[in-house]
Amino acid sequence: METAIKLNHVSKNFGKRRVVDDLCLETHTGEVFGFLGPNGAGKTTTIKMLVGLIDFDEGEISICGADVRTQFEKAMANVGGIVENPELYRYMTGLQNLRQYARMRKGVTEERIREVVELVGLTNRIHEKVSKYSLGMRQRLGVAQSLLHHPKVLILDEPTNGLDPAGIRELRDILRNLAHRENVCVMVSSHLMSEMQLMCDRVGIIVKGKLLQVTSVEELIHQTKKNAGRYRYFVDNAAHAAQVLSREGQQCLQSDEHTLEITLSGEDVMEVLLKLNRTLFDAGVGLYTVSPVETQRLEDAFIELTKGETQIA
Amino acid sequence: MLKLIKNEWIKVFSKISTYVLLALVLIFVIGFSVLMKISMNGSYESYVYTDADIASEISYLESSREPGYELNIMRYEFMRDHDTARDTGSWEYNALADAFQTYQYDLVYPTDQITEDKKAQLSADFDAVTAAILSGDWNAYADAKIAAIEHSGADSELVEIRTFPYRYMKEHGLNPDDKPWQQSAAEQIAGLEEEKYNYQKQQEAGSYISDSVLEETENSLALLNYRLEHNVENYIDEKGETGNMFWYAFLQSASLLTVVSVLMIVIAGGCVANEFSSGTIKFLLINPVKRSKIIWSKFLMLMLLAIALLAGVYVVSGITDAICFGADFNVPYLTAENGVVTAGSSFLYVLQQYLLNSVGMFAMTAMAFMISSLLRSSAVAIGVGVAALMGGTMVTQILAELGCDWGRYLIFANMNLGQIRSGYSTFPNQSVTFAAGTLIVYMIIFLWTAFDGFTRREV
Repeated sequence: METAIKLNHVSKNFGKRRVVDDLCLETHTGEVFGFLGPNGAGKTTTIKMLVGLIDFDEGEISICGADVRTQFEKAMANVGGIVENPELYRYMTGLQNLRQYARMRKGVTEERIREVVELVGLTNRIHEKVSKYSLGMRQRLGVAQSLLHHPKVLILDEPTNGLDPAGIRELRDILRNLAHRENVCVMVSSHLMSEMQLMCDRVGIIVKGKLLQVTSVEELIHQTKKNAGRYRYFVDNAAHAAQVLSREGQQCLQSDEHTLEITLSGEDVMEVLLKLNRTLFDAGVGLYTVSPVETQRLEDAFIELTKGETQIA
Repeated sequence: MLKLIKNEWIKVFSKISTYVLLALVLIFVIGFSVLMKISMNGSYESYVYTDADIASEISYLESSREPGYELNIMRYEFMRDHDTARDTGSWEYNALADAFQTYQYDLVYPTDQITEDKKAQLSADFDAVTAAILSGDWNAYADAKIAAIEHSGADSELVEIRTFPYRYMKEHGLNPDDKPWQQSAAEQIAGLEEEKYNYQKQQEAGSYISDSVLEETENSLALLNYRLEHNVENYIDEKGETGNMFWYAFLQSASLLTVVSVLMIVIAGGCVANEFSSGTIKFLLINPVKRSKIIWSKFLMLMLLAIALLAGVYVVSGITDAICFGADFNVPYLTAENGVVTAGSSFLYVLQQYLLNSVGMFAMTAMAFMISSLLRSSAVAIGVGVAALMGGTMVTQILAELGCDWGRYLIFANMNLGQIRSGYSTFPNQSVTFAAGTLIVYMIIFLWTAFDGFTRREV
């Protein structure tokens, strides 16, 4: 595991406003790193500084050991990315676009272009003009463009924008594969928590230009598990179960005749669950499954972490 | 770097708008040749006088009583009575006019200096010459003229000069009915030689004749002699004037470069700004290529394109003009200095004119490029570029008329290098060196601003 991106006390001002404040961050090869934050938190600004689109006022940024200021060409040789929207030359075909970028990078063969096109699933439409592409297709072409030169660092700014659920899943698989099999550092920014939860190994949460926390996704969920967690009961008779649970002092949220949810808090969540299940069993409720409502976790954690600060600065 | 330039080139030629503009240029080039062809048709035609025409000419002359009208009436009467020289295109027509002017003028309007002997001689000469004209034999006419000149009493040198056209024509077996160009050249030589003879006599008498006048005469003579010696009917002179339609049209086509300039301004104006407006700049700049290289590649692409278009207009104009007028490759570019004639390639001369004409194009392209890079707005860049191209010359002329001498430092006052070289500059005493220097300074400022704006700005 090598260090891929390193931000060392980086700050950036737009006029008097400090958009990025003393940011320190390290990502490694072989991981998918999620860059999480509400709108206007400084995600895109940070990414732009990383790829040299804008300059920064304080600190240092290096990519694979090369300083982006002093060794720009060396640093960028390891980087592929999409910043903001996938805006490519609309008057050219997808293939012509890729060839443009291929000429600007070293060692990209026609073979590689075909490979990448195959990977993002654009083979059938690659000879069409980009102006005829949907947003999803442009996003795919953008990803293809960023992968051309086997970058060690892949920086994607909201890459799932415009993709349908199947496309999101495909992209997720592509990115996880790249990170875990080809040892690429993938940095993804997003404000969609559920997506991050499935895609990332680690997340960094940025609010108002400050990095609040960098943790693994599991840790983040676990961390919140102690305090508040929602559990979904799947039973034969939800109304009956609700009655039993209410007697145990739980507030139930019944969604249909088989499903209900409760919220558990405190240190001894597992103890409480054990006790509740036994009670339900004794009361004759047919219990199929009990499961934590995971998809909500990261979002809860995120909102909790950023509470009171989600206002656009 | 070559790959980057190739990228930029592909970008330009992937756009349909580029092809529309190129087609427009092509239409202009072809249209220009065709229009020249149409306007040049029916240039010179001879006219044959009928009796009725002569009668109306005479009655007109009688009523107008303009100076020398008696002599002209005599000429028309001679024409009618002897039924000769009615065709304005014939040698007889000109010979008759010459005979009346040379031998009858002093008889019709006699002065005191003219002796009776002289009168008798003029009358005899007139009869001899007109007899030769009536015979329709040009050689006889030439002999009559030579004889008349020889006993006119002029000194031997002048006789030599004046008889030259007739001797030359006879020696080379030329027939004036074929309208050989050598005739007018020989006549011009005789005229200039006589002029030169007169200058020498005046100098001997102590008058001052400026060197430039003498040199001009000498050079004109050298040119004419060179043409007779090398059998050069048509040529291009220093001022770019020529009697050959193909070369005339080819040279005039250089003005089409203004249309090319507009195309270049449009492309240069969009070249940086469009990357910003379409957002593609972000994808361009995250490549492992320094920004300075990217902007250089854009500028070099523009320069290559301008050169390609310049060559294209040159070649296409040459071809369309050749189709319209028929190419004549035996037309050299002749210059004379100190009485020595140098013959150059006309193709090179025309190319040189195209290059001089394209200076403005390069300058305005660089300006549009700068604005495009600085303001990131193609509309502003194109607007300012085209306005400057069209209105720049006007502005400098107004400034020159108002006496604002600082106007000479404006770029527009220095763009027309061709004119400045010929000495027709808007501001007095503007040398080519000054103009070229000013242009270079402007180019450096434009490029530096463009590069600085591009490499420093945040995207």
